[in-house]
Amino acid sequence: MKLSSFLFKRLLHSIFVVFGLSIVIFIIARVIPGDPARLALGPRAPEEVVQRLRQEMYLDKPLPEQYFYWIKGVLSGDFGRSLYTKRAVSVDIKESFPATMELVIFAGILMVIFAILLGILAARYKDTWVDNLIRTLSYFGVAIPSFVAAIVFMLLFGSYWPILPVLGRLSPGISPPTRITGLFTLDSLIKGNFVAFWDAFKHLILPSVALSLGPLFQEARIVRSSMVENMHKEFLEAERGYGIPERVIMFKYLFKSSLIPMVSVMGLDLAALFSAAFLVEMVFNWPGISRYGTLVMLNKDLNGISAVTIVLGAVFVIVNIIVDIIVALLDPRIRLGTNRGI
Amino acid sequence: MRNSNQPNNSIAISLVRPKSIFWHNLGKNWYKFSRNPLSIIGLVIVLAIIISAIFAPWITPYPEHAGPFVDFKSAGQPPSLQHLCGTDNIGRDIFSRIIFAFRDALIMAVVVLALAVPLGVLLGLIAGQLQSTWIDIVIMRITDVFLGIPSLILALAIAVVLKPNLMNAMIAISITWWPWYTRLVYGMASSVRNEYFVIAADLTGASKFHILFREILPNCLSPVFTKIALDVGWVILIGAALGFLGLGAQPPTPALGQMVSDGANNITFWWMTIFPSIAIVLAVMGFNLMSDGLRDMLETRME
Amino acid sequence: MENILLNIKDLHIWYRVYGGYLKIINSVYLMVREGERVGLVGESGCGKTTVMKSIPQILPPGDFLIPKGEIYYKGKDILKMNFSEIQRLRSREIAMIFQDPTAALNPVFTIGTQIGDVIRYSAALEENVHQEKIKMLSIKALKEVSLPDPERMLVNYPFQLSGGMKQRVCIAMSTSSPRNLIIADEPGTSLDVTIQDQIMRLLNEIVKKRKTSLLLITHSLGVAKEMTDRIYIMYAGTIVETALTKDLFQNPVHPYTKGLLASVPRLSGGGIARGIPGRIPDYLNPPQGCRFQPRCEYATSSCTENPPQLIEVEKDHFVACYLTQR
Repeated sequence: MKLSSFLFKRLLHSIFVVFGLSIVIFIIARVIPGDPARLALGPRAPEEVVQRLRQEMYLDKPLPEQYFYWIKGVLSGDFGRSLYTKRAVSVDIKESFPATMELVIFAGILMVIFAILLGILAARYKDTWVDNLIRTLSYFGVAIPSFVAAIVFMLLFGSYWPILPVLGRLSPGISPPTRITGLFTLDSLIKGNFVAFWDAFKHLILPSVALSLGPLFQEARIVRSSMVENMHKEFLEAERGYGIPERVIMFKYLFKSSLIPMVSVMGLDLAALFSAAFLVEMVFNWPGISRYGTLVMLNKDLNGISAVTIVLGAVFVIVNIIVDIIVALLDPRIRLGTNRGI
Repeated sequence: MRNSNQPNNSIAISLVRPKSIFWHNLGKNWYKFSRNPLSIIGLVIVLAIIISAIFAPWITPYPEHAGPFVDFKSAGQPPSLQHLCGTDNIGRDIFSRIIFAFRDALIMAVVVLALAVPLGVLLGLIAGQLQSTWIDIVIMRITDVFLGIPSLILALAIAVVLKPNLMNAMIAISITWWPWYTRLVYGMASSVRNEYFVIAADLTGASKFHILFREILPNCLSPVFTKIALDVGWVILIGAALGFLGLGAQPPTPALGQMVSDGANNITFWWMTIFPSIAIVLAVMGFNLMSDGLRDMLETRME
Repeated sequence: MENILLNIKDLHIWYRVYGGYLKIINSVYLMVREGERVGLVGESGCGKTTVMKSIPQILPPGDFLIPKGEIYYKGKDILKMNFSEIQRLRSREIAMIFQDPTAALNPVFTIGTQIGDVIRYSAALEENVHQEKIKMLSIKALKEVSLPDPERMLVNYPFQLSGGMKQRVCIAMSTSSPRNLIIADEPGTSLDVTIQDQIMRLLNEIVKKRKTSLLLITHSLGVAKEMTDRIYIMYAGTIVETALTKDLFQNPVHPYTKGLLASVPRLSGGGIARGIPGRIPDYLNPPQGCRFQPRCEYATSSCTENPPQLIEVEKDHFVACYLTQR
């Protein structure tokens, strides 16, 4: 069946990409001038200690061998020790990843819902004030980078209009819910802890909006243009001609036919949210993997940098695969593969 | 008597010549571009930014504020007639600094694109032309790897590894930027390859070089130009993002991202945050609008 | 038989482009009576499809302009109808069959969904009808067009069907509920000749059986001769001649009609048929007078001043040409 072979090839391709990625990261990390072991221990550490660390880090072995050890570690989940937090990097990542997940999921939901809504509205009322308003807003919104939005929110709600919290995931005094998924909102709901839920939810709002603003408008434009392009395709004229009401045409027929390019873009944007989160997490002091990543980067923590980059790269690749799968499912031509009839 | 050694290019030329389509479209569609108010707005913004950046030392009210300058007496002043965007926490005029910051931002964009675009386009052309050979596979796989990394993260990683300054930030961004052009050109080259005028040129004995650069390339150029116009805005954005984290041009040189970050540290002086932010948004918006118009102008087929 | 179903009067349709307007349709008169089969014949590019699409008002509104003219259906002007009246028109009265069945079917939905929705929203049924009934009616409609294994067809996607089958599905959609007028735009053109013949026969059968009126648009005189009672000849957006089918073939008057008839190659000798020299006019700046004048071998200077009106030359036979006045 064509679908499974298609998926298989895709998977293979992605594995290759991740490996290539790991090589690139590895090369970058080892390019840092200076001696990582000494950097870690500081200038006053005695030479033997440094030498021992060097051996531990395989720094005296040739590069390909170093890569091999590193990859072995990565594949078994061991990213080494963070020279910044002094803990195992894998622990750091496990701790901080769910926070970013929650943020990205929330932002993603906002992004998708509003993009589709605005896009359909703009297409339905094409060339009216609704359309023009949405299009003008989107030209503006697309140009706002997430960190600018984040800072403006910080300014607005932090100093002038404190109706929404701007720092962290929970207000001081509220203890985090017992950890099941790591997503505060979900966990607190599961346990029925509505106080924590509401608080976590409030904290999610600003960063998610900041994150999703730019991509949201970009996607709204794509939704609109995809629908407009399909709007006067002949089959829609035919369907209209048969008397099928306009709203059914809009929301069912036009929408589904325009879906494929939309899904591709949304998938890409979703993956990109992870990298945009870097700056937003910094601004809002959100304890996620992106903030961790930024900190280790600024502190030149080799293990941390390579670990975070590879994890995020892998996430990127996984999201892309999922998007491809969804697209394949949506398009019956790919899904069914075989061609009966002429 | 015919010289049979001479490749007879007249056939290829008498078929549709791609290069003239490009100029033809350009001329005809300027009319189209000028009728779209949004594109004009974009063009105006872009021109304003470019001109003010070039003539920065002569048109800013306080050009010396873009360098090491301290004046605590006038620190923290809100926007006024004297200081259009107010002053920052050590007394520098923000408006002047923004204009100078645009200078660096534009230089960065130009350098990055000057590095990334030719490389990307060349690789894309080669891979597209030599399709299904090992060269094609290698090039495209490497491109995929680079595309698989979120560009901000890669740029950050590289910029961090190197010392934080403007030059290194530019290098870092260039390394992340070229794959997009490769992929774009690859796709276009693959489809243009099968057009009749290319096959005709090949049949009449035109060299591979000729085919690549005089037949295929001009047809791939329109989306490339559109993308370049768009990318200037995005490079400014990524540059600002890096600057926000302290990578890129170091103080006292003004940089948009850095200024926003300073603003965040002095949140009570709201103008320190808002105006550089508006500047960034305006720049990106201007280039977006202009590039949309450019796309409408360049990418219509012959009717 | 005498009730007039569709009556197009002096219709003008313009299409907006950057330099101005393409004045495609210029004063079209067309009438379809109850139970009548009418043919609209003309070469490619003369605007037949545009006229057809303007009837149920499915021309994209931003690009098309109707500056003048009326389209009367059962006495009411379509161009003045409000939205719900037009809906009613589309769902109960008029059905259209498009030229290219592949373009006319939505590629991401099954045949069953599409024909089911047509049935559901055609006002023969109330809106909240049982899914089962719709399915039954769909199968019935597909059987009527002689499609094999209709049950299986319902879950197929358009790309899984051949061209002929897709066209039959389109016909099934038009006939799934009783209609008064079927407009068919060159229904067999994109298919090979044998299939085309089958489709035409099918259409003919259905129209005869249900006594529906038919407006058949075609560029083939042969098809028109077989399938119509009356023919309108269209050139460059104007009606140049109209007559009962047999009268038209026996006694063509307009130079264009004569040219068309002469262009049909005959098996019985005579070599390659004569064509009509010249091409269709530039719609941006169409000729002032008769639109056929640049290509007409009988043209005189009076033909360039004003477009000729349709004049009755014998019973039920109208021609728009100044030749009739000499």
